[in-house]
Amino acid sequence: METIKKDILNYLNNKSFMDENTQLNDNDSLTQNGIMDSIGLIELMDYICEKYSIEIPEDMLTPENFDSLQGITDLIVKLAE
Amino acid sequence: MDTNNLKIPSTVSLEHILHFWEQNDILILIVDLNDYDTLSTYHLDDIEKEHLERLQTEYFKKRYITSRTVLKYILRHLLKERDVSDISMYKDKYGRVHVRDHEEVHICISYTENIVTLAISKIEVGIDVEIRKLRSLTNVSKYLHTTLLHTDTYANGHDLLMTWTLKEAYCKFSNKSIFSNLNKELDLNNICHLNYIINNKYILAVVTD
Repeated sequence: METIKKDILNYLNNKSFMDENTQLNDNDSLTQNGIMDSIGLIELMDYICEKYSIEIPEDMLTPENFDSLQGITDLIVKLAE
Repeated sequence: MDTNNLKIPSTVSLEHILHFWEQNDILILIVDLNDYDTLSTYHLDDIEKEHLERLQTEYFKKRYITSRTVLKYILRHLLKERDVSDISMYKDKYGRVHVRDHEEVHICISYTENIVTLAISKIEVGIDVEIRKLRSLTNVSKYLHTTLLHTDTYANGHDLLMTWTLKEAYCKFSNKSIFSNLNKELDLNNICHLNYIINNKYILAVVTD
């Protein structure tokens, strides 16, 4: 789980609007805290589908699963089992 | 989906904006963040400052301050208020922006890179703007229902982006989360929707009654 979280954090460091002053906790909202916009989240979805060879069921397309580092990590763990 | 190509003219004065407001139901203004190098919070009220505090990136802070400041200057003129500080805005629990004591005015804001689009309207409106560049969406394209485009060919990156902007604009118009509509086909029967390509660089979708 920590490896996945690190990978997502690495993605966010490279692809989001994070800068040197950004503080991001595991459960912080990525959109409400100004880390990503909504199309950025969709690109992140695309990345995790590709990287972890997973398909996201439609009923799992919820803000809870995509709007935080912890939510995304939990989703990947669940789907990659 | 019909698309209109637009060339945006140069800057417009507040007097012109006032004139356009008298003649039209919806104004959509495009603001270049690069024209504003100040991060002054002078015109933000306490609730807006609280929201600003939550934002963790300089980019989001700048676009928030700029959009609110520009909106207040324009609204002060359109609504004939005495001072910019008389304009107060708030977000409802679904994220829609309202002008306090002016429920007859509808606001919608969208951002992409250095561009802010501001819709000020007499009728309900949803807008979305995206820079026209290819994005990695291959694995999630199935969620976007590109059949909206009425094309027999496989949707390319720009088509996906067109669909995306329309979905975003629709969700803002309906005041719903994009996730609640991501995998749903949009019911476009009783709404007016338009797609524009601006300066061959930006895609703008507008949804209204």
